[in-house]
Amino acid sequence: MDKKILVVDDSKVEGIYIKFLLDKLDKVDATVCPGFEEALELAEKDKYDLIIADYYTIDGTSDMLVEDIREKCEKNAETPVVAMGRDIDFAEEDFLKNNGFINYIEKPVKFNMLKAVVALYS
Amino acid sequence: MVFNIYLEAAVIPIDLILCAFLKLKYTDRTRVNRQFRLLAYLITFGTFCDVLDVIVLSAGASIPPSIKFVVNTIDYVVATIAAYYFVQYVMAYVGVKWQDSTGAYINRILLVIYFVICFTNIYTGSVFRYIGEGRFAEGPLFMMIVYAYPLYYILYGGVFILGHSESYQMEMKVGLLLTFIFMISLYLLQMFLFRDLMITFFAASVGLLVMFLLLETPDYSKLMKTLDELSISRKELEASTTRAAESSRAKSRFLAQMSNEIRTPVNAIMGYSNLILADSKEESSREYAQRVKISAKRLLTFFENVLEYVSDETEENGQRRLPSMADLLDQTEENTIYDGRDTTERKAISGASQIRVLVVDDADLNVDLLVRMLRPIGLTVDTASNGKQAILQVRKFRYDLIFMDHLMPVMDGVEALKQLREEKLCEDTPIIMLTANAISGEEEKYLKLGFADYVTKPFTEEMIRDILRRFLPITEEQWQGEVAISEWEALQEKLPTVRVADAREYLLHDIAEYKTILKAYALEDNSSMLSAAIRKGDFVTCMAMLRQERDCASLIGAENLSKMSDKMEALCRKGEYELLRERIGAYTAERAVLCEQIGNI
Repeated sequence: MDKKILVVDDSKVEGIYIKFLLDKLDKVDATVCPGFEEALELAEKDKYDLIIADYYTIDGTSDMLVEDIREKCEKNAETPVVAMGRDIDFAEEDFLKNNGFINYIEKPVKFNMLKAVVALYS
Repeated sequence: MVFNIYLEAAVIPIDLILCAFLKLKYTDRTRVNRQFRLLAYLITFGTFCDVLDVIVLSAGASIPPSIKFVVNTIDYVVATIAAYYFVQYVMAYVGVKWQDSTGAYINRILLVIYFVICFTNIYTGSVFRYIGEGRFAEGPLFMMIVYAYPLYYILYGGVFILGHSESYQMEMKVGLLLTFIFMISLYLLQMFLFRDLMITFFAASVGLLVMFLLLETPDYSKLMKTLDELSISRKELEASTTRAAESSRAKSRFLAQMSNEIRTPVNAIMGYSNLILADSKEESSREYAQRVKISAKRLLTFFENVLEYVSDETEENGQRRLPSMADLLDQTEENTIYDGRDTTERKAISGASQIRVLVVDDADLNVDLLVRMLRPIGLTVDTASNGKQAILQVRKFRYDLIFMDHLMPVMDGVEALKQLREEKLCEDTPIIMLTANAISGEEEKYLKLGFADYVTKPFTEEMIRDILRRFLPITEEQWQGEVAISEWEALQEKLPTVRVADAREYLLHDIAEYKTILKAYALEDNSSMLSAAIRKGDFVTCMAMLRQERDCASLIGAENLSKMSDKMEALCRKGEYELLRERIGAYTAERAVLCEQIGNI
């Protein structure tokens, strides 16, 4: 069974790049969407094994997205969410836990990191 | 007491302590160890027997004579046995296998005789007779059995030590000598003067203690010291191995970097020379460009030979001296590049590739073209201008691939192929036919003849690349690496403000994907949205956009843009929108320049 992964990133360039990396992984079915609206739509329809969301987006910081998903999308109430950003964004103690993220990856994303995250959390 | 046992009784506790120590702590199963322990137990037992003997003899009528007789006999026997085992121990200490020496054989015989005499003493009384009231009378063999035998063995041991004095350290020898003198003196004293004083086993116990301290214990501390030294050596070895490995890795990295640093500008020189040759119609300009190219190639070959020597040196760790300039130039002379003239005997090495290709064509131009396509990739390329020369070459080397022209003087391609197959010279080598024959149906003919494939002239780089990909033992990865390096370099030249090497790491060396991303980057221009957000002071949008700018710039290797957006993000966090407005202009301008360059790829 393929792992379903949802990536939320408002940059087209980043979207292409992350899809390119994820396509290199075995048994991974990756979907990239550019904003919170689309993300919620997709999350309502399908259950995902992992969600990777850029932290700073035009629609706001993605902890709000996580909140919405937990509330409105039954299928993904338990789905782990990994944030993307820089070290300083997540430096505060318990920041990740308090905002519903299980971990974060630094941007620009390195293939090995992504591979590890997918293996660990999905 | 009929005899004075105080000395011997006093030494019993010491003997017992030593025995206890040996039993509990001296647990090695070595022969020396076992022999020493046995000796210690015997001497302890002997001392005890000596004391017991006197007590029993002094006991009067309460102890029957038979008991007294037995105890007395045991006493004498233990003394001799202890002395015998002293010899065994001494021999074991130097590692001599006592069974093998003649002396040991004699000793064994003597011991047997001893036992016979002792045993028969019950009947013969030759050693001693019980004469009642706790007294024994000495028989004719008394001195021999009771004194001479033990003395003999002790002296034998002493002589043995002297005979193997090189096995003992000086202090050991001095100690042993003094102990010996002490023991023998006591023994003789007792034998001739103080018959009342029981001292033999006292002397033996003292001797035992001295031997233990001199011979046995030094080994322990030596052993511990040796173990410590070994442990230290091992740690040092590990450390130096690690250092060596690191040094080797550092050297490899350095070599790789050096190789890259040298190849890049040289390739640029050659590339631009090629451009001049392609564009310029002036004879003199073309000649100059050609000369520049040849020199660049020589320079490259020279450096590659240096790097090869250095890397060999690193790997083999041998004492190779670095070749002198002259040596290297000589080698470079040999490995001269093809320059359009007679090339049948010229070989060239470009890079360190073991993959060897043969190009056979009578037209210099075609040979030249093919060589120019193949050598830069790092293949070793040989040439021949007709079938006959080709066969000579194949006889000399094993080729991974052969390009063979059809129509040639002296011997054509088909004939050459036939002969090669007949001579079974290159059975696994794919031979590619170069043909001007574009008539359909001819292809089958060639393939039936034994050619692996054919290429119609004029051929393009794509066609040749395709053949190489299909027939050379290069994995797809290696292929991507070899060929793509030049593509990356070309790209780098078009994007001077970008560090293409950084992006290559992220993009897993996929140049096609990189180009896709660059184009997407050029299209995704959010400068206006960003400026608007700054003007409005919209924190959320500013952060998102600046972050996006920075992430994308880092991804594609646009170092400067990445740094600029970093600084702008810092300002945004502090809410310094005024300063941001000042910066955004310069940023947008530089980004626009990059987008234009991307457009020119």
